[in-house]
Amino acid sequence: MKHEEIEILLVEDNSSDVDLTLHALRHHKIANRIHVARDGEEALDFIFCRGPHSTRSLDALPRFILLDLKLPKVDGLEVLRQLKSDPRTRSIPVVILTASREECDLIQGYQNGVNSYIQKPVDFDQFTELVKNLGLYWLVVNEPPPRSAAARK
Amino acid sequence: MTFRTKLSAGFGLAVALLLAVGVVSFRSVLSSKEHNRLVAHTYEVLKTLESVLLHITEAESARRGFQFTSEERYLEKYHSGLRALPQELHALQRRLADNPDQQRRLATLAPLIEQRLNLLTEAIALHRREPANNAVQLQFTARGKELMDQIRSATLEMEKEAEQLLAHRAEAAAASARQTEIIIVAGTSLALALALIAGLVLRREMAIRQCAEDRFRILGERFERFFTLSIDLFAIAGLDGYFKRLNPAWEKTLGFTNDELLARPYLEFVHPEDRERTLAEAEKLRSGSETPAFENRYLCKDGSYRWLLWSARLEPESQLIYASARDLTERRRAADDLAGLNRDLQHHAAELEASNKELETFTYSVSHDLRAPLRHIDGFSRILLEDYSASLDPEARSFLGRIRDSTQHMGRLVDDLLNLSSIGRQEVRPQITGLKTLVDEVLTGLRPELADRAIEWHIKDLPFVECDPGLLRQVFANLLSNAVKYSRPRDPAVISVSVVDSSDPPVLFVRDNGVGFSMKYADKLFGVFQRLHRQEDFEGTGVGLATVQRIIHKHGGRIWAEAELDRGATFYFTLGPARSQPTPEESIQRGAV
Repeated sequence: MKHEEIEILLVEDNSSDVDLTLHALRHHKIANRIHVARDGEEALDFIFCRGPHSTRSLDALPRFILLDLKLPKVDGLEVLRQLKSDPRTRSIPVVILTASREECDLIQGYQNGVNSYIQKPVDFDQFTELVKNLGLYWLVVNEPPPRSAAARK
Repeated sequence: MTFRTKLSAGFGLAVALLLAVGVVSFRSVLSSKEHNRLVAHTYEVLKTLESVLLHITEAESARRGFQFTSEERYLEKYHSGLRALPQELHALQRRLADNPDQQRRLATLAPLIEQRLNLLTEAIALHRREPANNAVQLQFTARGKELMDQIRSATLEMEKEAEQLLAHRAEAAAASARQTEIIIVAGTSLALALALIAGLVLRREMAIRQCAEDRFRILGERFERFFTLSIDLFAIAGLDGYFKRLNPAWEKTLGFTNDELLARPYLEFVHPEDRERTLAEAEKLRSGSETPAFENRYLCKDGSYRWLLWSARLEPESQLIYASARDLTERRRAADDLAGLNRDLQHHAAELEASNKELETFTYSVSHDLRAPLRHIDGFSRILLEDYSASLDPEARSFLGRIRDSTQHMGRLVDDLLNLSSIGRQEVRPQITGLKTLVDEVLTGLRPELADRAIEWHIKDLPFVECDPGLLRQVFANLLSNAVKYSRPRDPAVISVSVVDSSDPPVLFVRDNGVGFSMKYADKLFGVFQRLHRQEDFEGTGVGLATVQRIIHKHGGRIWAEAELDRGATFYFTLGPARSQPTPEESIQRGAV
């Protein structure tokens, strides 16, 4: 591996949520290589190697993405739509981790191909447990798509 | 035949009859006159005949006197008879000219009279010559008597004939008079009867005519009364464009006097924008078509306009337009008001929709934004407790624990409120659902709360009902967790889930033997944030029963509770509007034995 592989892309605008999520992930030693994007535009730039991330290679896709919905500039659903409509990024598992449990958000999320939809619990213990399980599932239990899958497509 | 010709014929006949009677009477008078004349004639003949006899007899007497006395003066009667007799015979001749029988008899009589006179003359002459020759005189006398008898006989015959004629004539005259009488009486009677009948008929006809005239007059009066009374506007207009007659409603409606309205062409009173249409309508009327409903505006004295609805038709004989109009102004105003109200309503509906949208947005941001800080507070408190535990004294750790409890409680409050609001916006999607299975599922979900609890469950007779299973799961989750919660002090707790016997629609109930509540507060039970227990005794958000009630109401059902302090509580509910007569309370009394 030439580049250090990013395991998780966390797309979250709220710094407290970022801190708490990172704390939970690190607490359980789930992942070390985590990139945080603070809005939808930054997330898209990072994934598609544009703007400040133009030096990055598109081959180095994150193992999975934790996506908030309510984001500045480009909202979460739009980010999801772009990821899932591009053959190069379509196979990246995307987990929506949001405060909203609105029916319309759920429907649109699944219609745009989200892999999982989770509402953030208020109880931090539950939250920590949830983040741990998520990391274990997507990084360890789940079999990722072959590296070349995107390229072949 | 018409009545009139019948009547004329009747009167004509009567007049003709009377004329005929007159003619007959006149003729009868004429014939009576003739008859009288004839009678007189006959009497004349008889008188003459008698006079003839008298003269002869007197002449004879004169001769006898002369014979006895020989005095000339006795001969006077002889001479006068000698002179009169030819005249009388001549008169008879003349009077009997029309009667051949009598003429024939006269022809016999006349020579006899002549012989008798001659004999007298000879006797007189002889006496003068030989006054004493009585023998000859006797001969003369005998001869004279013979002649006299013949004369008498002839005269008698003639008299008899004349008298017969007289009788005959009198009889004829009487017959004619009787006939005339009959004709006069019968004819007059018939004529009178006819006249009487005609008169009666005429009288009856006149009565009928009078009656018809009365009716016509009454109808006319009624028409006038309605014409005057009507609130609607009545008009008779000519094809020249002028009103000819208007009822008083016009003056009341428009304010112009009758004379003002008749003085100008009616088009001048029509709103300028409506004139063309009005002209077109009048033209249609002229061509014979009817105007069933036409609306235009008429000028009022105060300068305003009033809407009139017209119904009109041309009366072809008089070439007049008969029209009735109704003042529609108020109705149109009401319609306008209604339209305005409708617009307002639509506006309000739009506002309501907007505010609903706003509420949704608000709910969304609450769910997203309000929970976030809570999460953060809880998260950081947890991190403090975990990672910095060593540098915190026990009280600080306890406070941090209280902070976490509060945030989590608030988190539940927010979640419950969001749930309540989302139920309000959610549509009920009913399907046939087995309540037994549903309750079992709910109990499975409650398992953590059931740990370490001794509970006797009586779940029986749960029916299949039409409901939204997702929503009803929430109903049972709330009611069962409440039952479990409030029966915590009981050992064992007894919880029943069942249906009231023979209730339609089914009345379901959840009963526990827990702490119950006072019925004083029953009305507060289903209010949001209304709690009947302290948080330390029984935790809760105060939203659960409000949510349950909202779901039941969305199903068209109702929910109520019966409880007693420390003796348990029962929550009853239905899932549809009541169909049968017995009230739920009665059903409960029967079912709750």
